[in-house]
Amino acid sequence: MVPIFKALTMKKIFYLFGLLSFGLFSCQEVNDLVQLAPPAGANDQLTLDSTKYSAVAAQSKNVLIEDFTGVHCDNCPNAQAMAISIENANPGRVSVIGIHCTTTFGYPFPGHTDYRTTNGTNLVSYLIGTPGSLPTGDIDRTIIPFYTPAAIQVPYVTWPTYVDSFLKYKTPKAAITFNNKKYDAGSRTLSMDITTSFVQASPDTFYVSAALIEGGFVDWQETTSGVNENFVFEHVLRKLMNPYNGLNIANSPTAGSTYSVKFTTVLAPTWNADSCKIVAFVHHRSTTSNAVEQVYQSTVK
Amino acid sequence: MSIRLLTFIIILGSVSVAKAQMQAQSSDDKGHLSGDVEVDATWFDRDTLIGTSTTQYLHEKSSTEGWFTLNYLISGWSFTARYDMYNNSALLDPTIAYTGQGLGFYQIDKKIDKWEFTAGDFYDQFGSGILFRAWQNRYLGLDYAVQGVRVQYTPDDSFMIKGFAGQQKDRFTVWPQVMKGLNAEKIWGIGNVGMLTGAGFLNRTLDQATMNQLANEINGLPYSQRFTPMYNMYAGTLYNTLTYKGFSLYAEYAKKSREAVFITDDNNNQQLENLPGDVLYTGASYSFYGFGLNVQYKKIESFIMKTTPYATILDGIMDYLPPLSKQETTRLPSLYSVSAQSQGENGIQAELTYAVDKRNNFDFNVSYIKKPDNTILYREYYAEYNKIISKNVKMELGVQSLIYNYEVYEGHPGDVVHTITPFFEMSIRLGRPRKIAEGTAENKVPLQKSLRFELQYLSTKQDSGSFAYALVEYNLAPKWSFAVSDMYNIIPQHAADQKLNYYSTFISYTEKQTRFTIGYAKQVAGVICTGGVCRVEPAFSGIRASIGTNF
Repeated sequence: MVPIFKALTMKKIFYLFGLLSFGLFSCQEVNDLVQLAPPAGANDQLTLDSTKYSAVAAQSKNVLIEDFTGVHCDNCPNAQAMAISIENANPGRVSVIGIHCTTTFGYPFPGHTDYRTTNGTNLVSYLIGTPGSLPTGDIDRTIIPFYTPAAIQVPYVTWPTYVDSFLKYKTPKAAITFNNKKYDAGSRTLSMDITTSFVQASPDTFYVSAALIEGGFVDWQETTSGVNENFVFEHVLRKLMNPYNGLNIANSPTAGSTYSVKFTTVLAPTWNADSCKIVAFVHHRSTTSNAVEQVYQSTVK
Repeated sequence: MSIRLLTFIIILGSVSVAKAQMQAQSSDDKGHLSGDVEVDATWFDRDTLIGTSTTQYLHEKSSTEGWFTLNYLISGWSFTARYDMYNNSALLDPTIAYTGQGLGFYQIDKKIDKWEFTAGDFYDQFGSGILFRAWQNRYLGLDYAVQGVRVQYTPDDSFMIKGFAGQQKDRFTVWPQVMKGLNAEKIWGIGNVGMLTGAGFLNRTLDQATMNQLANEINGLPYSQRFTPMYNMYAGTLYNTLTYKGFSLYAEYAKKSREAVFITDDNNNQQLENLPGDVLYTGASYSFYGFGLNVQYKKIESFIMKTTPYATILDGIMDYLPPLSKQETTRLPSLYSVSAQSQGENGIQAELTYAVDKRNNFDFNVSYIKKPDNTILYREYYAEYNKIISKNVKMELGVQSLIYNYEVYEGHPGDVVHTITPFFEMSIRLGRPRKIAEGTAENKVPLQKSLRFELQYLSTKQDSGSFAYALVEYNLAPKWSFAVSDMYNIIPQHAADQKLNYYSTFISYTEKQTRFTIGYAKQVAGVICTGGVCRVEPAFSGIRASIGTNF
């Protein structure tokens, strides 16, 4: 080994350092995690906000139901009815997002609105892949051993059981509220700060997602008795904010730590702001768990 | 079984194996075992007047820290292990009560001819440390040891090259980011001119979780401010020391590649930016006929060297930027101390010492540091006169004038602080010098009595206002030392404020190499610095006790 070093004169060694130190400055890396320019039609972005708000007081557990649905799914109205009955039985504590999806069940009737959204489709693919049949849904994105192997999606008839159990026995580590909520009717712009406080420390990493939903409007829906041309849709996902699988807000949060996420979006002219709601939730995002820690919702106006 | 406990057992096993090997080679080599122990305890006594409100005053009421280091040397092997304990400690972060204990440091080191191999935790630095320095200061709760492997090759006394790869320690774990470095130095010369030339290279790679967090945050910025963050940060340095007779010139230039860093703006908001950085640092010294002159210049441009941009304040720092201020040790002249601003600063310091004769000498210092936008950060004029009045009496007299950017250094709004601080110190030895004649037991020789006084006055219209300080210390060397002092807020900034006393008492007892100290103290909130590294600490009120020894 020593002769090798003898051969390395000082000059050569410093050339080596020069190469290492300055040549590597220009090394190219592949990193497509950052969106440098707005993608077409997808500029609804959640962003971290430096505004400091008071800590949100601890809350009882609220539950999120994600109802994977489609206008050509004839049993899906039953799932929607089940979700409504759960909401009514637990006022203020259950949020439902109806995500229209799949090319088999979600494609629009000719001349009618396509209720599928890019981010909704991305999310369904991320959470459960391509569902073979609808309706299905998840409760707080929690893995439940109903099927083998265990998965997050469960049949709608089982939703009340799991929702009741989660409401009764789970204690959320996080509490959410909306600050500075403003809706400008002229520009149809809704803005707010989604504020999350951790009521206990956790070693986990947490994300915030937010969705704009609308209900109370009429359109065509396939049912077991044919097409219902006056079906009243509820909980329909209109916008799932970017990133569709959640904005990272905290790594190993301490008890009492508070984070704020800025939410700004513009409501389409055809949406009725009086019937729209914002659903925001804190959740995990990993290969082992996407479980929802807490969910909170509010009307737009 | 924790990984670090397992590591400790492996070290013990390695010691046994190494010892067995050595004994097979030489039955006389039993090696050398050394170490040190220190235990510090603090009792917190809440004083609402001076603003003691951290958790220890409200809940825990006491804290303890302990360190026990063992080092075993045998035939070129070195085994080091250190047990650390923090119970409700405010040391690492004054705002929390941190509890943790375990193996705080372990190292196996082996020298084979011109090679040296190290595994485990190690402290090290490249050149002056501007590019890379792994070090610790337990009194500030800092431990920047690297855990990994290091290889050094020293073919002769004039050349050295070393390299390492590892992760920086984070209390009892490590930061997930990895770093590697290479450093070479050559001593050479031309005639009477001596040179030490060195070069260093450092690479730090972010882990995926940190990159995801960064990407999320950047995705939250307006599109005009977004950038693609880099996993790898590369940095290099070149440095040279030239010596000629009484003259010495040091020059170093370090540069780092572009990476995501948090920049604090004038409103104390943190903004994520993609910036490269560099440092130019030079120092010249010259001494002749009783004169000594030392001039330093430093220019920093966003040279933020952290293992992750999310490491806060003093966490995760990979380098050491020397400050351009005189390192004060007395109470009021050190009240407004500064550390180098890695985000950017431009400064110069000049110190002149002049020894008129063996009894009289002077020390003058000027420091001037500003931000890249020319906002003043720090300016110091300092003059000190030392006189040996007699064999038993010494005195020191001086004055310091400061301008201190309170907002930048202490992180909250406030006016720039202007101070003038005259100070006086006198030491009086009582009785004849203590000499231990050959064959005389040390404890048969009377203890050396001495007295020391300090008087200081800090005049300012900003921050908390003016203070007067007095200290009396009585020593019975080498065993006992007693001190009482008071720092009195003689003219508070606001006339309605109370004139508070921050008094302290202190006793130390030394028995051979073991020293025990205890004292009750009230300490004003402010910046605490050691060796140019500073942090803002809340006020303190309570009892501190410490015992330490080495063997």
